[in-house]
Amino acid sequence: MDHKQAPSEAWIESVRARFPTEPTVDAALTRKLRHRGGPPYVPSPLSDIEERIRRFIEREAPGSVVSGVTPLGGGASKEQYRFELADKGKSSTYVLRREPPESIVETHRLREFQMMRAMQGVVPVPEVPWVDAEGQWFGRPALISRFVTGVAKPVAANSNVTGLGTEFSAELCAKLGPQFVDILARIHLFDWRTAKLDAFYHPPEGSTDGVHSIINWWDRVWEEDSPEAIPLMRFTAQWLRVNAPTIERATVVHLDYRAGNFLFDPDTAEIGTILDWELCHIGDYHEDLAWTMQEGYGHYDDAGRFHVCSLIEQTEFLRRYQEKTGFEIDPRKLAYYSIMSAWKSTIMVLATAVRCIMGGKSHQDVLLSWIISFGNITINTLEKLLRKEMQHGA
Amino acid sequence: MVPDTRLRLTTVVKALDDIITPALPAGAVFAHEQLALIKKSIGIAIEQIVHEYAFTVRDAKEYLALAEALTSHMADNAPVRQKLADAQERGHQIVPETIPDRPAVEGYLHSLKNDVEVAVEVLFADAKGKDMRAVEALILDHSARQTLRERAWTISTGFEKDPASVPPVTGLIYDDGAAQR
Repeated sequence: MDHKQAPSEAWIESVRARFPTEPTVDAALTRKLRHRGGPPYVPSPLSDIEERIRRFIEREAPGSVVSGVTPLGGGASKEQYRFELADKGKSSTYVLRREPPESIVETHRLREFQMMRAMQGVVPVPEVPWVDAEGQWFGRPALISRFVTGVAKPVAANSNVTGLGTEFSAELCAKLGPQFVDILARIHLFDWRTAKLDAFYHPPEGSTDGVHSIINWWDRVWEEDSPEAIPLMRFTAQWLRVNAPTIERATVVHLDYRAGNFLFDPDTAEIGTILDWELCHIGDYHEDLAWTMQEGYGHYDDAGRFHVCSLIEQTEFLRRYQEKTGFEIDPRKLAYYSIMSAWKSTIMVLATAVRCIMGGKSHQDVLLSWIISFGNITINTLEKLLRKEMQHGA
Repeated sequence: MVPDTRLRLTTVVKALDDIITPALPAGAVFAHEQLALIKKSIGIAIEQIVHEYAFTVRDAKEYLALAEALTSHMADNAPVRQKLADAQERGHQIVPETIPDRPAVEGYLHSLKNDVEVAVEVLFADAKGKDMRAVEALILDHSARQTLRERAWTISTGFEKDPASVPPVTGLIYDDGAAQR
């Protein structure tokens, strides 16, 4: 067993000191390390989940009645349970999202909670009435949101796990593609300074501080989770530090904006909900664009044109985005963040997902062991992108 | 290579324990029996896979020794003698001299990878100009070869956009470049 599987307090402190990052990111990662030596994931009896919800609701919404607690499928990173809440004859459906002991991304529920609340009325997002950021009520950190209907992929569509490689018909693309861009534009146009987002670092504009904070975040994750060294990963971290661009306009960055992370009405093809806000931060909008445009999420057509998330042709994606935001798109920054995106994706799958299953820490270990192979695609992309940059003399 | 086969199988057993077993009706006796056998079989595979090649090599060496000993008892013109002699010659060409110790190689490789990663970090900080270009090229070329092997190894997971462009893994790992085995 390597030292990362049961890290000492001294090692944890050395990692924290070596990779300074946002306080809530630090809190989530440190919590993960301190629990790593603990037992593997074991499913909780449904009666236990039901009892925890009841006790929580008694305190938060006295008089309301909980019923119909049922596990939900999907969700590679968090356990999910659906339940009904009745109050004065009116019943509503909610979803409890609870952290397993470890997952493919380690994030802070307070960040997700604050960002989802901030985005109410800006873009379609589930209402989130409650958070248990420290796991006081649910044993582990959890968040409760309204249940929303919709599908993540067309009925009977071909796709790999978690929506990767989803195929959409031309008709659906024509309807979903423009909405997909418009919602991203609205996320980036949102005036986050007016919202309660004190769980987030607010990087100064005209500086590289915010970029270094992101690099430290993910380089720390690599240090904490990687099961084996890969020279290209540390090489990339160094390259990203040396070449970090300034953030000229700080925006909300969703960071997992892609097919599979929105729900739409299969009859009207209207996007009803944007999901998975847990990786959100304040940063450069190029970071989001590059993430969404990753090769692994889309496809090339017969004419060699790339279709972002297999939803919209890339030139049209960028044209519409610029039209909706009025933001300049800097190709150099896009190239930089493409490298960062491939690097981060690789860290998630070739480090955190592997570490998670080594400890048997999640409810989705068998799915994670499958997803890990996607890391071979992202690291291949990383190598190609870096080679291109080297040829340009970066 | 991550996850290796042992880790991949471990997650399968965990899914059977955590998800599938509780979902089976208590009265489905035959299904429960089969599931128990499946889990035990996978457990055996997890334990043994690391030693399986060493077992095969030990087998081959024992049979080679037996063949040699038997040959010495045969008449020079015995029809099977030449066949055994040929087999021994071929055995000496393809059977490793020492029993391969996979855990030792894995431990060594893990440590070597760490040393290389640290070296890359130091070189990036220290190297200048021409040296830097040479280091970059070494890392990128190594990564390209490594990644191609990994992609070929996991091609069945279906993440490749153009699987036909990835050569068979056997052609990438054996010295003679054998594409089909």
